[in-house]
Order: sequence, then structure tokens, then C-alpha cells
Amino acid sequence: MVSRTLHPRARSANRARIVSLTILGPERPDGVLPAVLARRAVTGPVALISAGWRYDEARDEPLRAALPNEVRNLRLYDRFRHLERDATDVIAPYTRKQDALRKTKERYRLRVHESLSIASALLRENGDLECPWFRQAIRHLQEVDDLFLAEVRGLHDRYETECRPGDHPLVRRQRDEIREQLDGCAALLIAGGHIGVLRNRAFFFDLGPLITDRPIYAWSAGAMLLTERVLLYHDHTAYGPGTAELLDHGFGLLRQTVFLPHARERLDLGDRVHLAVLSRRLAPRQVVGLENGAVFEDGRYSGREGAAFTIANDGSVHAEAP
Amino acid sequence: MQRLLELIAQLERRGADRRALLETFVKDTTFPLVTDDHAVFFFWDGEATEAVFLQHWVFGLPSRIELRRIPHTDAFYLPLDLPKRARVEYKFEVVKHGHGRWSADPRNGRRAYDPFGSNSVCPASSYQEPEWTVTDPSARGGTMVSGQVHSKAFREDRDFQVYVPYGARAGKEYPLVIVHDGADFQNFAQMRTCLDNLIHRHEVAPMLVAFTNGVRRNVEYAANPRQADYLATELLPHLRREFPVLEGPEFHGIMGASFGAVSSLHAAVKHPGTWGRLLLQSGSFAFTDIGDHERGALWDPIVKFVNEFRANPPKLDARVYQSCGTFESLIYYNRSLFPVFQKSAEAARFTEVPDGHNWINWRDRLREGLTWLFPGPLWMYYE
Repeated sequence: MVSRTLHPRARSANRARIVSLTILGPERPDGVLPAVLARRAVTGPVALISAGWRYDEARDEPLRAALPNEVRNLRLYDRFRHLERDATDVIAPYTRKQDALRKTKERYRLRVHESLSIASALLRENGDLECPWFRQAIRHLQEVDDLFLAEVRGLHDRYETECRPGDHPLVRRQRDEIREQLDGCAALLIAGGHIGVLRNRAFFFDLGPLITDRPIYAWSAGAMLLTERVLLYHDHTAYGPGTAELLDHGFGLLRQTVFLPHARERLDLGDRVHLAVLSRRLAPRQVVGLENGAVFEDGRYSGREGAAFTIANDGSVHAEAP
Repeated sequence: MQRLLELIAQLERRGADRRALLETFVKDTTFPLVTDDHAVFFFWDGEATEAVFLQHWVFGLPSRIELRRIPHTDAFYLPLDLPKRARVEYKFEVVKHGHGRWSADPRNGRRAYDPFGSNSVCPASSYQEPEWTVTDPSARGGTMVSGQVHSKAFREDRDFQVYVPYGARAGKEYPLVIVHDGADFQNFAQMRTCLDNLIHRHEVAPMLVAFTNGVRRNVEYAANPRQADYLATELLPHLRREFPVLEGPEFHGIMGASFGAVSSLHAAVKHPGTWGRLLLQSGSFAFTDIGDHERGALWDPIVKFVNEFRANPPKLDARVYQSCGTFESLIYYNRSLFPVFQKSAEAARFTEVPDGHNWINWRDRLREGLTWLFPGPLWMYYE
């Protein structure tokens, strides 16, 4: 049975309270954000994270033109570029951490490619989702994913512990400026784009604790950033389906969900075995495809019918409807 | 084919108005008739015709195939099975009054162009023109910058054009690819459009592409040391001074088709450590295991170079993407060379396709080649 709701992280004493979380599909070609903000009566200034646009980060004029709100761009990409120039004592170990992450990723790729191929081959062989060999292959695949994420988390933690970037005056100043910009904003918008850059900048500036005390509106890569784990995928490359791989942890504000923006374009939805393996690999998380027009407001779907869909663990696709 | 058989049956009936039947047939039909992967070539121009031949560039078929006359008419046809996803470029040789004349198929609007004119095209129904080869209004186009460098190797100035990707920023550096037969790659393989699209889609890294042209092209591209020196010691340093080119052979690519592929490989062998990415299409890699090559004196330096390369393959610190059409006479040479690349190169890939020695084949392989040699951040973008 496919759930029709998403699961914001449970509120608890030791976790920040999430005021409100709205997830959108890709905002192209027809953005729904202005209508959603209007419906939610968001009238004050809004903060914007567009670091996923990289060097186009500041090219937010179309968004400003579409919204009646004052838009305050937090300029994470630009801030980081300044630190690359001025805070080399923080950035040099950061670069080393990124190099170590790349090496971990290379090991992970060797393993995950093989594991995924075996799981798919076993399911294609007899189509039995309950076959013990297939189930074992899925467990192994999940172990590979978990091992990768554990190593990655270790590298991040070591950097934070050893380097303590938040203690560096230039980094602290940037974080203070971000906090000041956020103060008084009625909402935070997180745009899509390059998920790797977006995630790295958002974590570097330690936005996790800052962003949960106001409504968040996030789309595409921005939506991926809010989940527990970020999956990179594309089935239609020049060489056919690539091996879907985890990028890293996200902020984890949404439990049990993996978002796949542009899934109809990027995923081979006609290959049920492929989808079943994908869904089981990520279980118990719900795999949610997001298209232009998709809207989840605090977990409830209110977007265009079919613009979001879930992939069940038998590989079937279930469209969301308001 | 069924429609043609029905036409032939109607034409053979006594008292049939054959001209009217043929006029109706050609009015309602797209030529050649292609069903699945079976084609029927057809010729009728309403005039007395002695014979019609299919002239094509499919290695393995007789180079000149006579079309069959439909009895009692001046109409001709030829059925031909096509491999899946095949493209055949062809002309008709039409014989009238004892004289044969080559022409495009007058009833087929599909044309492929090259420096010598154009050919008619017969694609199998399973062939699809890649969508990334067609102008995408949402893809923001790069700009072209013309330049010139004085070559001591050639003792003259050499012109080039550099494609600068959209959004290129001051202070940022990019990979560089040097293209042989650059004007032809632009004009006949739509390479600028392909670059715009593939970079826009994040499939290929934003890159600088230098389009160069030979002056005495066949001589210069035939494993000519002057050309190799010009590329490595004159053009590349000049481009690195004038444009924001990333440092390191992994960011320096060189590519070409036919003789251009030979020149690219030769340049990499003669200047090891300079070119880390090779894109070699339908390389004219002729060699001999015994006897003469019989391809003419122009090919002598190529055969010598490839023979030496095969006998003692040098270590190529490069990734090599190689492609060739199965309808080319060069397929044997390319197939033979691939295992050598697998051993001598950092990594090698080879693609065979049912197509010929033509610009559309080379255009259609650009995505595979460039995405492998210079992959863009496709996996990272969710906009």
C-alpha cells in the first residue's frame, strides 16, 4: 500500500520544531510557487537559497519578478567563493575532505554497481520478489549504501571536530550575516539546481539549525536537500541507465522519503524490475517522483494530479492526486 | 513492398492506364518505401529511361546495384534489407540516351550534405535522428571567436575559431578540444548546435572548442609531423595564452574524422603527455600485414605510421573514444586497432553503427564521445 502523505520529522525535545514544509516539483516550465505562497498568505520578505544555480546564483530576477514578496538571497555560493579566497586555513582542510569523499565515492561505486547488477539480474531471472537470493541481494545493496553513508558522515564529523570552521572569524561572520538575513523572513525558499553544490554550501554554513523556525518551500534539488539521503540517478545517459548512487545525507527534515525530481524524464518507468529494485533498495523510505506542478504541503498532496507519484516495492507507479 | 507489388499487378493488367497509375502512386507515396527495416528504392520521372543504378557508400554491397524495371514502364525499383537503425546515403545513376548521370533521388527530400554536395538518405524506420542534434530554443548558445596564429611549422598564418560556452566566466578555466576539419564539423555535423544542447543539458562539461582547418588538408592530416608539431607546440600554447584553458592533458582533447582521426592519433603519439582525450571517428587507419596497401601515395605515411603503431604501441596517456560505421571500408582497420587502444591507452571505448563514412554518422556519435571524454554534471542537476 502506498502512502499518500510524506513524513516530516517527528517533533521531539531535542530536535528543532519544523514550522511548515512545502515540497514542490521542478519549477519549470510553469512555476507554481507564487500561487502556493499566495494561498498560504506568505506576505513578508522571503529568504532564498539558490546556491544550486552555482555561478548563476544571483540571477534570481525571474523569481523576484514573479513574487510580490521582498526576496533576500542568502548568496551561499558567493560567500563560499569569498572564503575560498580569504579563509584558506579553513578551506584547505575542507578541500582535503572533499578529496577523501571522492575516494570513498570511487570505492562505493565499484561496490554498488556490482551489487545493483546482481539484484537486478536475480529479479529479472525469475520475477520473484520474495526469492531469498533476491532479498539477500537487496539487503547487501542496502548495506553498501549504509556503509558509504557511514564513511561519509565520519569524514564530515572529523572535519567539523578537527577544523571547527564555525570558530573561524570569517566563517562566523558569514553565518551571522545569514542569520541576520533570515531574521524577519516569513519563509525560506530553497531552489533546485546542482544538488552537490547546494548540499555542500548549506551544510558548510550549518543552515540546519537556522532553517526550521520558519516555513520552508523547496523544489527539486532543494527538496532533495531536506530528506535523509540524496539519491543521484539517470537512466537515459548516452550509455543507457547509469548506476543510481547516493550523494550524501540531507538535512533529514523529511523522514522516510527519497525524492526523484524530473523522474519521468530521467527514470525508465517502463522497466518494472528496475523500479522494484530501486524501491526495495531504498525501503522503508518512500520513493517519490516529482514533476512540474507537484505540491506537498506539510505532507499532504495538493498539486496537479499525476505530477507526483510513488514507486511501490513491486515496481508499480502510483500517481498522487489532491 | 506490398504497395509496390499491388502497383506492379495493376500495371500489368491489359488496358491499364499506366501513366495515371504511376502518377497516383508517386503522389501518395514517400520514397524510398521503408517498412520496418526493409527499404524499396524507386525511380520514375515520366521519361524514357534505359537503366537506373543505386550508387551508395555501403561497404559490403556491390558498389553499383541496378534497379529492376517494372514491366511495360520506365519505372524502376530495388528492394533492400537494412540493418536495424541503419542509414544509407545514396544517389541514383540514371541512364538516358546511352549516358549515365548521377543525381539525388528526386522523390526523396531527405538529404545529407558534405563538402562535395549532398546525398539522398534512406534511414531504416528504427533510425531516429537524435533530438540533441536539433536546435533547442531553451539551450543558450555559445559564442564564436575567430583567431589566427603564425605557424613556423607551416610557415604561414593559420586561422581558427573558438567556441566559448554560454555563461563562461572571467577567472574560470575550461577544458579544450581541438577539432580537425572544423568548418565541416560546423556546417555538416551541426557541431555548434550539438555543443549548445549537450552543455545546456549538463551532459558535457562546458568547454572551449577550437575549430581548425587544413590548408593542404590531405597531406597535412596524413600522419604529418609538421601538423603534430603545429598542434602541440604552436596552436595549443597560443590557445592557452588567449583563452582560459585548464592545465593538464586530461583537459586537452583532440578530435577528427577520417584523416582527421589519423592526425589526432599521430599528434598524441608524437607529443606524449600533451593530449589526454582523443575522439577518433572513422579513422583512416590503413595498415598492412603483408604486401602493399594499394590506396595511393597519399596513404603511404599513414600506413607507415599505423604499421609502426601496431607493431610497437606506445603508452598513450589518454582516454580514447573511437567510432566507425559498419558500412565503411575502414571498419576492418578500426576493429583491428581497438584492441591496441585497449592495451595502450588509459581507457578506450569503441562504437560501431550501421552507417557510412559521412558527417551525420560523425554528428550522431558526438554525444557518446564527448560525454565520455568530458562528462558534464548531468547526475547532479535537478532544476
